[in-house]
Amino acid sequence: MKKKTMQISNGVDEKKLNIVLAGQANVGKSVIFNHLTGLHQHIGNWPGKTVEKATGTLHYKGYTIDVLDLPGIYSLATYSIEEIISREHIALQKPDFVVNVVDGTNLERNLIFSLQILELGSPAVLALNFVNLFKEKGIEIDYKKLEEILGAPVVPVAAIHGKGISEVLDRGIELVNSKIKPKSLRYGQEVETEIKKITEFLTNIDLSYPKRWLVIKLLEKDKEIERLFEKEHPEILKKVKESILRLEEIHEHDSAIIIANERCHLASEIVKKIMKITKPSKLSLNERIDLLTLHKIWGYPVMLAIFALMFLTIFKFGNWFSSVLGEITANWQIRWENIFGASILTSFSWMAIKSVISLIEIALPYIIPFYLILYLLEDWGYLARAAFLMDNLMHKIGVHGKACIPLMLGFGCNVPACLSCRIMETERERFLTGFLTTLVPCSARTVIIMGLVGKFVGINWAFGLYL
Amino acid sequence: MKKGKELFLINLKPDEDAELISILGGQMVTKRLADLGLTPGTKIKVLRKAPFFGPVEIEVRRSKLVLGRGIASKILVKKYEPR
Repeated sequence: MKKKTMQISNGVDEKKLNIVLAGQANVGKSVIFNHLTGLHQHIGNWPGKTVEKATGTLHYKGYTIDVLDLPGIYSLATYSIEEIISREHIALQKPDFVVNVVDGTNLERNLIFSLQILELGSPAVLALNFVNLFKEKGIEIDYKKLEEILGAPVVPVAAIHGKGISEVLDRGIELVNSKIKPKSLRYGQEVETEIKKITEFLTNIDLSYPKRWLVIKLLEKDKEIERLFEKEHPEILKKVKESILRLEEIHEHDSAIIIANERCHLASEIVKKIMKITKPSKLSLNERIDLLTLHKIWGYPVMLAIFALMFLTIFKFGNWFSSVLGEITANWQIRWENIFGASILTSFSWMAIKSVISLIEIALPYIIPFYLILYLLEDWGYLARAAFLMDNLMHKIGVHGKACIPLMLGFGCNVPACLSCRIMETERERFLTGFLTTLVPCSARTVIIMGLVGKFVGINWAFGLYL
Repeated sequence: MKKGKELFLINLKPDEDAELISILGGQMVTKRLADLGLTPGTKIKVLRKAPFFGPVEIEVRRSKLVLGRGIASKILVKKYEPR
């Protein structure tokens, strides 16, 4: 595949850059993506929202920048299809730079991933997100020192307020122009010796992946990479096996675990050097709320109360708003006839208008607050909490606790609910959840249930239908 | 604190500390957990357990993680005994 490079010589307008947003799940990649491109990629406060990759273009300081938003992944191993796609993209398409979005409040875990990106050898900018929460959590980070250790620019970002995003671009462009490669971070001595040994065998072999990375992957017993060597260089695989055996003898663990352990160790060493937590153990507001919403007994009444309140609010508000609309439009028929005169034609056309009005009267007052409340619950992260509480129940039906999210979204509208089934990991779970969501009464169905059953049989009967 | 008896993560009570010993599972699971920072020797603290045999929330490497029961019952840990 041909690499798209900058064409500075062709004048200012021709400068093109390809950048990639990569990071773990739920760190705010899509928020940054939206800020960059002005697009409206849907964002949600639960991990795994972005399943497919999204692309957009922006113009910045004379550059045309293509941005790719990769799905959130926890590593660059070959565990899931997303990870393979992301890895192939970064390694083979060679973007001009990678924006590694990092959750600053979970720095240590996120760094494990960052180390893997740096290993891939492409220029990277660390966008340290959630700095707006640092004060509350008492976190202090020495950005300069982190930059020194990693050999890559680190930019504090508060994506939700749009802060720091243009600096990310500035630093990235700077990086591209300076052509500085990230430092390769060193692991423990035993591992490094083996890496060195195998790298020597690779000197005459041309592969599009960076060599050090290939060696590390081979030591990790990565199946995809092993396949690359299987046919033409089986002798290298033999050498790798010897190295693996030596390592496993020393550490008494699987070699993949040894390497992962090295990475974890490195991340924790880095964090020790650059992060200070000043006021520990004081519960944040979030944690205090979690004490209640995730409580093993009280969590359930709270959940029931939240959903009961949601439906009640929607019903009460809808009812009131609907009657207000009804009053407003009550004398429109007389006015209509005053203007156009009373004839068969006008009464016919009035019938048409009337049906549109009543549709608005009935549907709108219920649907709008529904979406609003669901949006808020989603945004505050309550849906993810509910998934935690409902996990076991969901497992009884044969799906992961996450299935709760599509099911609850289904109360709003079945279409986004069905779409969100993509967060489920296996084909089987996707199918099951997708099927279940269609059985959830959506807001439009709720309108009919509340409006008709409620009106003619009584509101208790209408609620009874949900049990 | 000194190290005490070995047991599975699932059997720890909230607020108990332990150290990861090994994961009894396939390479996939082990690797995935390692990517999340769960490697042998890692310090783990149980924060809360969801009721009705639901998932377990733990603190590991200064961040929080929720593990399903299935996985939590395959992680062998050594409990730290309070002195």
